[in-house]
Formats: sequence, structure tokens, C-alpha cells
Amino acid sequence: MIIHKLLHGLAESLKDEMPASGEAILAFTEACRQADNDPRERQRIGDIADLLEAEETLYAQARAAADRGDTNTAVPLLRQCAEAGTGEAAWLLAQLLEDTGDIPGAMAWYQRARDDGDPRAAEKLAALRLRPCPLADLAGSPREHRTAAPDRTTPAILVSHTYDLWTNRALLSAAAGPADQAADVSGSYPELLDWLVLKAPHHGTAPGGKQLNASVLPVVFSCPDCDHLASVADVWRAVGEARNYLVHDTSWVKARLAMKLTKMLRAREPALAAEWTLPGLLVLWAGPGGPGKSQAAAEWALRWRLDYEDYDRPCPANLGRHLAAAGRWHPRWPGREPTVADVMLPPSEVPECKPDTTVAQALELLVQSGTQALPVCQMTRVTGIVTLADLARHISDHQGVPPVTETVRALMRPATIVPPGTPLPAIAKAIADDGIIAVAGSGDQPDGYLTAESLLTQAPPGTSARPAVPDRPPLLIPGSGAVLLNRGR
Amino acid sequence: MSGPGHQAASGPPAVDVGGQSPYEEISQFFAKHYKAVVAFLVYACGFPAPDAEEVVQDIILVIRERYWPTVRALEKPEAYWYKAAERRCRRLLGQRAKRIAEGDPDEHLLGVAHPADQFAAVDRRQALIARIRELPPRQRQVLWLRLAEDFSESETAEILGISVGSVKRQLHDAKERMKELLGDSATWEADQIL
Repeated sequence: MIIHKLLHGLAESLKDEMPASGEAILAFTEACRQADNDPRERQRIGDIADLLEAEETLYAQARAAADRGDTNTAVPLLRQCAEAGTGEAAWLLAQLLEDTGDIPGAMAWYQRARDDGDPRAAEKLAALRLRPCPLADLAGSPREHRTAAPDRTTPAILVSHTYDLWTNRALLSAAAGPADQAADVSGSYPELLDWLVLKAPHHGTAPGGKQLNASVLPVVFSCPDCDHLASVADVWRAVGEARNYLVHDTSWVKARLAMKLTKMLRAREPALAAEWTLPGLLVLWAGPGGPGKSQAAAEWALRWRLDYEDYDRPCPANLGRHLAAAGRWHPRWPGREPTVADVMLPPSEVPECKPDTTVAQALELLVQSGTQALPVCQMTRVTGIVTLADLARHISDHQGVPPVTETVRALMRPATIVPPGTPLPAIAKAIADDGIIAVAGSGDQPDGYLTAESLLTQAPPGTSARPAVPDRPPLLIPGSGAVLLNRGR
Repeated sequence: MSGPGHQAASGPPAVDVGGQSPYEEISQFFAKHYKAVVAFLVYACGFPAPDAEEVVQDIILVIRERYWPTVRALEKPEAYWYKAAERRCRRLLGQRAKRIAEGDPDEHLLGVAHPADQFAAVDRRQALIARIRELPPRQRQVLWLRLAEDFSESETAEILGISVGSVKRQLHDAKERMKELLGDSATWEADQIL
């Protein structure tokens, strides 16, 4: 009952935050008019409708074929539906494949259904794992290239996110060979993989008692055919011979590293087997704070550009989020050139003036904020900039005393406005000339500003890129009066 | 509720005034349900909010263009809206997942903190949303449709294209999992989400 109440309350409060119905109807009316008047928009809506109908038809045909026992027709149709995540296609396809003896295929799709939350699929998977089959067939990813292991006692490293999968003792013994060899080594796993991936020799030896130079792994990842891979394989084998390892509660990056490594090893050493189970949602960092193993792991993952092709349905939001976090930790991530969006200041942190701001007020703002230039805004739109150099020259022209009422309107120069994705090198000249550029937003309002100062200041993650400006006494220009510094908007 | 079938209307209802024109009818239908459909897409299907609003609007235009005479006759017309929007979102999410390796990760960020993100200042409601997100996708959808939107078991099954038995089972599992995730339910009971 409490869950029911919570869900209800949550849904209602979320609805309250959305635009009022009146606004929504206006937007709807506008969308209707656009659809009626714009042939392209009408075509787009028609295309969406066609696609929905096609999906519906395909799924209906697949189910009908399955019901009448026409497996040859049903399997390819269901496969399409399952790949699109339609209804229970994954579950139905897995059942058909199981009936036809394609156990690895069935397990792959049961796994998909289980990841979606179908408890029947979890039971089926557990039952299938109890059947005698090569360990390599247990691999969790549908697209993973599988190499049959020669026997069930082959050394294996098992990487799983979910501990629940392994709590069934029968399941454990079936998956990992003889029961007395299999063990939950969650405590010793970090030592294993951290050693393989991150640690230098002087930090200790591998569980197999062998040494591996810390510089090996970069070479291994960049040059899979090199001899160093054999060294890693030796260590891996030694570990596996000592005990089959069950790994759970691992991070996404470490799991990915393990997958990558095991794939490369198995290509070279077919006798090595590994299983990994990666659900759609994974916790990436065990500890969110500070540099450490997680940071190093993220750097590895990013540097070697782990591919996702065999990763079954990653959660885009979480994946992107964590990659972004990793990217901030590791600014030299080679996959992405730094852009103005990476270093820009939010508008709230850059003092702005208006066209009718007086010269003295603008000068005061510049001095107090410690910047070389100010954006001049009309409402929220950037109409130009004024620079310290221009103001100083103007005051000098008036023998140090500009007219009290004179505004910056006549001294404005055009602002450079660039899209957020502009690479930093492309704005070097503009920033050198003007001292400030505006970053275009979705509407009139800029997304932010890039100043010469912010560009030269590396801010630690999670803090403002804006340098701290010491309080300075007000700038006293004869006749200008007091100036209130308004850094906000 | 079954799908509206392929009965094509003769075009969208005219933008007309006076009386209860088809246009007014569908406008009222839109105003009444659009928030709920958006909330379902965002919090049960994991679709980013701005895109969810776009999908919801696209689907209502599809309904208006082709299916309104059929959909309006259904016992719960909004169920078809949920169903079509969920399918559209799933397709778009699938396309994005394929692109994610090349794209800018920032494009895929969601506003809601991940449960593991201890730095995020999550309030009580966000904490609940984060827990819901820990459920597998289908369980999350079943839970939302049954408990947050009060669809019946058969309506939920029709919207998601699964069997009624599966709805029952997934709802049961989702509730059990939520109980685990919520931990001390007395604390949650004492705190109002609203």
C-alpha cells in the first residue's frame, strides 16, 4: 500500500511541475497547424504512423507463426521484434530457440528478457545453466563471439554484476566447474583485476605468484599480437588454475576492461574461458570521491576506446553521464577535442552591462571583476562587448574624466558568438582580440561566456572555472559616483 | 483495448470552432492526459524529458491524423497513446544506444541523479525516482502503469504488449524489489512525496 501511495504521490507531483494545460493546448494547436500546413511535417507524422503499424503487424505475424508452429517463419520475425524490444518477443524467441536446440541462442535471449525484468526468464536461465554444456556457451552477451572451451574444468574468470545470479549453489557449481573449485571471491577479486589492470609490480605479486610489468597493459591493448599478451595469458591461466573466480559488485569500467582483456586472450588462447554478465544499469564508481583506482580505470577505458558493440543495451543516460565524469577527470581524453562548452563560464558568473550603462560604471565593473571585457546585453541578447582597452583609450581622450552621462553604446564592438561545440583552437584569435566571446544558446540568451581569464585557468572538477577575484576598493572616477558591482543577473 | 487497427481516417479533424468539434474533443483529450504520458515516458521508460514531450506530441498527431475515430471509441482511449508512445521511445532509445560510442556523452545526460552519485543533492522525490530506476525496465513500466496511473492488468498488458500473467508476475516482483529498495518503509510513509 505504501508503494502504491508513493507512486501516486510521485506521479501527481511530477504532473504539477509540467506546463499548465492552457500552454500545452496552445502548443498542441500550433503543432496541429504546422502538421496541416507543412507537407514535410505531415509526411513525418505519416512516417511515424507507418512505422508503428509496421511494428504492430510484424509482432502479430511473428506471434501467429509461433502459435501455428511455423518456426522457420517465426524465428526471423521474432528476432526483429526482440531486437526492437517489442512486447515479449525476446521471451518468445528464446522459447522457440530452446525448442529447436539452439541453447546458446535461447540463453542469450532469455538473458535479454531477464534484464528487462522478466522473472520467468531468470528461472529458465538458471535451469539451462544446470544442463551440461560448454562453459563458453554461457556467455551473456548475444553478440559475443564464443569459443568453445575444451572442458568444464578450464580456468575461468567469471565477471558478474549481480550477486543474485550466483547465490544458487547448484547454479554456481554448474557454471564454474566442480563445486569445490568454485568460490565467491568477491573479497579477493579487486586484488586480481586491480593487479592485472592497474598495479605496478612493486605493489605486490599476482595471485599466481608471477610478476607482470606495469607497462605491459598499454602495450597489450594497443598491440594485441605482441608477446606481452602471452604474459598476461600466463597470469590469467595461473589464476584460473588456482581457483575459478566469481566476481560480483564490480564497476562497469572494470568489467569492460575484463571483457576486453578476456576477448583478446581467448582469441589467442582458446582454452581460456570467461563469462560476463552485464545488465543495462551498472554502478560505475564504487566510491565517487577523488582520484584513485576508479579514475585510473576510467582513463584506461577511455584511452583504449572500449567498444560497446557486444554490450547488450547499455543505459544511455548512465553511460553518458559516467563517461562525461570520466572525461572531466581525464581532460586529455583523445576521443574528444576540448570545446568552448568545456571551459565556458555560466552567464551568472560574468558581469554584464547594458547599452545605457555609463562608461564609468562599465570601467568599475571591469576592474572589480578582473576581466578584460564585458558583454553588453539588451534584455538577454548579447548586442556587443566593451573592452578595458577601449574604455581606457576613451577616458584618456577625455583627459581622464569622461562625461558623467556618457554610455558605452558608442564604444561597443561586435561580439563574437560561437556555438558550444566550437573547438578551442578555433577561437584563439577572437579571444586574443576581444578578451571575451559569447557561446550561443538555444534562444537569444547565451549559454555562457569564454574569457581570456577562464581560458587560462584550469579549474578542478566540480568547481567554477572562474578565478577568484580579490575584493578591490571602488574605482574612483571623478563625477562618476558609486558603482554597485552586480556579478549576477 | 486492442490496437486501433488500420482504419485510416479521412485526414485530421478540422481545426474548427463551435460545438464539440473533433478538434476540440482531441484537444481536451490531449490536455487531460499529456502530463501523465510524459511522466510515464520519463520516469518509467527512462526517456529524457524534452524528447518525451516531443514524442508525446508526435503520437497525438499520429492519433489525430489516422486513428482518432477508432481511438475515441475505446474504453480507455489514452491507453493507445501510452502504447504508441512507449514503442516510439523504445525505438529512439535503441537508435541512440547504437550511436552512443561516437556521440558526445553530455547529450545523453539525464537531470535526475544516479543513485550511486553521492555528490548529488537528491531530495526525497528524486531519491524515490532513483529507486524506481533501479528496477528492470519492464518491471518499472508495469509498476508505473498499475500503481501510478491505475491501469488495469489487462490494459497494462495491452499497452506493453505482454501477457496478463506476465504483468501480474512482474508487478509482484517489482513491488518486492521496491520494498527492498525503500528499506525502512515507515520512514517513507512518514514523509510525503508531494
